[in-house]
Amino acid sequence: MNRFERFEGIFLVAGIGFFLLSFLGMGLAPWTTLKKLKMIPEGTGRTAEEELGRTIFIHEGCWHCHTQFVRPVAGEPRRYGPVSQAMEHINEIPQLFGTRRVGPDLAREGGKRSNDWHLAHFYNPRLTVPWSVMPGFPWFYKKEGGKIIPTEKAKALTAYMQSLGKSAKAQMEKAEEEYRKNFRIGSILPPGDDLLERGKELFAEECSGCHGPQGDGNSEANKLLLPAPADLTEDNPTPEYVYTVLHKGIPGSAMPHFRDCPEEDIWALSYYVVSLEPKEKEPVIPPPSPEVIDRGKEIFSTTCAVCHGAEGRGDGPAGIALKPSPPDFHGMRPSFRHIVDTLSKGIPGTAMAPFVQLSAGDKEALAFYIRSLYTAGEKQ
Amino acid sequence: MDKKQIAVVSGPLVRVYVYVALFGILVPLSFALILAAKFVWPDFLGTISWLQFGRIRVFHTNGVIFGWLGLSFFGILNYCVPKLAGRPLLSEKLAWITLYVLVAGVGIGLIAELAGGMQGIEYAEFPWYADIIFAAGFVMASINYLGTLFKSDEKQLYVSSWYFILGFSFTVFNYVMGNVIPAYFAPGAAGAAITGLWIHNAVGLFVTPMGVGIVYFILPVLLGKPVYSHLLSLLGFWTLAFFYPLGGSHHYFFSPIPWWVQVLAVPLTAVLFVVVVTVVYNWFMTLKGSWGEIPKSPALAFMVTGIFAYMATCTQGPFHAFLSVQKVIHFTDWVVAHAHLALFGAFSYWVIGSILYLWPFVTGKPLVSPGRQWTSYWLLTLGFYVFYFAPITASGLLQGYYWITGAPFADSVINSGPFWFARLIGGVLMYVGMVLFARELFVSAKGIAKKAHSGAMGGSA
Ligand code: HEC
Ligand code: HEC
Ligand code: HEC
Ligand code: HEM
Repeated sequence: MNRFERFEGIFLVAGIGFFLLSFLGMGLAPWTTLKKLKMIPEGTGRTAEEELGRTIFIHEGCWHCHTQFVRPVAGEPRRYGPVSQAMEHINEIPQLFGTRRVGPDLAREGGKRSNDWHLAHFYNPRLTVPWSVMPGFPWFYKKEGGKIIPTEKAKALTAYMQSLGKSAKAQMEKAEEEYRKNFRIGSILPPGDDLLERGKELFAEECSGCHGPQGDGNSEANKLLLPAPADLTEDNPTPEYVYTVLHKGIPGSAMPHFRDCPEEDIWALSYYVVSLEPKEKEPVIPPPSPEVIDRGKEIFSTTCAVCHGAEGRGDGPAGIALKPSPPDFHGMRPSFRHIVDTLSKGIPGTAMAPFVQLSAGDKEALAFYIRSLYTAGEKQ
Repeated sequence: MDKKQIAVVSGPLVRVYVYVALFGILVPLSFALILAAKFVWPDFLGTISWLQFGRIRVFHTNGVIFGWLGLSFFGILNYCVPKLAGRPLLSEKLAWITLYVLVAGVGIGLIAELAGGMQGIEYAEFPWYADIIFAAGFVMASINYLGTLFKSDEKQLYVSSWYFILGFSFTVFNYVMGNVIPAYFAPGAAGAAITGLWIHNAVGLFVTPMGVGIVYFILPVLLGKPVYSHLLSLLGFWTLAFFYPLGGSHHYFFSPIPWWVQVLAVPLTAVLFVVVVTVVYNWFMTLKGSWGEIPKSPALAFMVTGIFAYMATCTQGPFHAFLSVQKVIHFTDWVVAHAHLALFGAFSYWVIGSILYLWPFVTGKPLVSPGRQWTSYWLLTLGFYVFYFAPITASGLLQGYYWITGAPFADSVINSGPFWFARLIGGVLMYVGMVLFARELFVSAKGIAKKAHSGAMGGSA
């Protein structure tokens, strides 16, 4: 015991020495190897607005719930996108890798959601994601005459979100395009009461924030989303249509995709949405007269049949070779508004172009005609 | 250990440090209750910006680390260090100033965090102006404690002193590194490597040496017998000093930090198991034959329960570093449970046990109610292990499972709900337990004369 009498100096030297060892070996050494990296051009820089968003992200402690790096393990590349590279982060001081994921990783968030989705979500995450435990940030908004107006800060935060993962954005977009192109309805699950029950539960959990508890589009989120969430009771699309929407989402709107969910859940939701009834029993869209349908049929055969096929089966001479190819309207009935919308806006990234020359009446006639083609159960 | 019965300890100094530390636990704990509630009802107090989740989370973590553990360690050191050195502190005046400076640093830092001005480095969220004040206080404390030990006339340097010297001399540098380099200089993965180092060294080379040093001091005096093996003390100390500073990157496994640094951290973390085993074995052998004392002494019960928690934490640690385990538990509640097992289950228990032991010596009055101490012990223990540690460990596994199986993210949040609710219950129990502990100290000390330098009598070693 006496050998170590009063060698306090040793311990002092040990403290300083081991600190140096720690810093040089595990801090400075990796830093030196990383200094050689060059930022890839697409990933460089942030605008002043994005920078402000990043500062808010730090000050509000978002990084205690959200990480910003995708690991090469645990299925993360599939869930979030390409694995994070050191060079993507060489402009980040301080780094925001994070150590806890109460919410999803954000390294690939840019482009995943629409701006209005983010703005509604930051106001109160329960508006868009009813099960969320994320805090709301209402102090980034002003209220004026019942309207909720995002301030600079909410917009900056949104811009920052959209800037995340810049260097992998092209890759992400390409993957999304591939997915949409190759999307096919797989096997159809037959309806059933259990499924409907499950659908109801899931609808409350996932959709009620935007589409309202009744599914009629009456919700808080309505105030912040543009286009507003659809009234799902309005006219009845088919389960196949809802199923397709749930897999693809609706680009350019806040409507997200739900393709991570098990197939069974997506069918459950689809049947549930179809079962939604309008509150007033009167259908919002009156049934068309036979003349209107005939007019639709006429326009269809002259303008659309090349691609969509004479009977709307998606097998027109110009259509078969297309990717994605036109859908079979006998197996799927889109909602009325979706057809009208598609005719005004087209579907970017596909052969389906907008038809601006058509009058509103023509578009409606076409919509009635297409919806009349559906032959329930014929396909399956 | 010194057996002289001289008045080297300043009673008021210890007492006031402890009172401030009590403030430093009760306030962050009330924020912890709000945090736990927000996991159950996310819109609870949801329109108040300074009670936003992110802000109060750092208030809670920084509050307990700096305000509670930091100040209570120093309070206990105000008692231990003079005893170890056989002389009064280098400067009692400096110790008072240190207290004011530390309180100012922590107070300003915490308020800045609530006001929305935190810095983006984990466990270093105080903004720079609070960092500077806190660092100044820390340097003053280091000078005071190290100076006292260095000026001592005692023949030998007890193992506690080794830990204290190591802890202070290492942490002064570590604190500056952690707060400056990742915040202003090191970008991206390099910043992460250094942040990992800072987090890791803060727990391993500040909290651990202080806590372990305190146990090495308090445990033998509680039991009235010397430490079992000097050789084991040596081994435990030097392996900690050598291996602990090298494992920092294990906080960022599978990140873009150069892979060799991460791979190196695996064995360097695993070997830490040796550290714990030697230290804990040493304590258990010291305890041998004295287990029967525990039911008679709440202080000893706290110390021993803490030792078990320490062993459990540091058995978990090396497993975390196995990459197959790491990919499941990382980012989940599991790590939160692990951190609490260490900081609450081990270190806070040691602090509580030590304060219960030394309170009569610094107040000159016995503790009044063993009943209240036991109630506090059981509330804390039940609240923590049954309602906090077990559920949050389970929810951590569940989250890891959902993520790795590719389930929708929603599953990991929705299915954690019941566990998060259990934690809220646990939090309430723990809070009440802490209040009882604080009350016991206040009630026992009541009526003490203001200037009682003499209150500090020697501990019976
Ligand atoms: C309590 C922890 C918590 C905090 C703090 C937090 N979030 Fe979240 N966040 C979540 C959870 C849980 C989700 C998943 C549910 C949802 O989408 O709301 C989420 C989802 C998100 C999403 C959507 C990710 C996606 O594509 O699905 C974004 C973007 C986001 N958060 C940004 C932020 C920002 C910015 C902040 C800080 C201003 C923040 N979060 C603070 C928990 C948190
Ligand atoms: C973030 C808000 C949001 C959430 C959550 C959401 N939707 Fe939507 N949804 C929208 C918006 C906005 C539109 C309208 C898009 C447009 O008009 O282009 C829409 C459109 C739709 C449509 C197409 C309606 C039509 O007439 O063509 C369907 C079907 C749909 N949603 C179903 C669902 C289901 C089922 C869920 C839950 C699993 C859900 N949505 C969740 C915002 C949301
Ligand atoms: C050049 C070929 C082409 C022509 C002409 C064309 N379409 Fe399309 N249409 C497509 C393709 C390809 C798709 C599939 C896009 C996709 O799956 O994203 C499509 C999709 C649609 C959809 C949306 C189906 C859905 O599920 O989202 C509607 C509705 C539609 N077309 C209606 C029409 C009408 C009405 C006309 C005539 C006025 C027309 N199309 C003319 C190629 C064409
Ligand atoms: C010697 C034994 C220990 C070992 C080997 C060890 C190892 C680890 C590892 C590998 C992690 C990272 C887990 C992950 O994020 O996936 C971790 C996290 C953590 N540990 Fe330990 N640990 C030990 C003891 C301690 C002690 C004594 C404390 C507290 C004083 C502590 C506090 C923490 C904290 C706070 C975290 C969470 C950090 C964060 O999420 O940012 N650990 N530990």
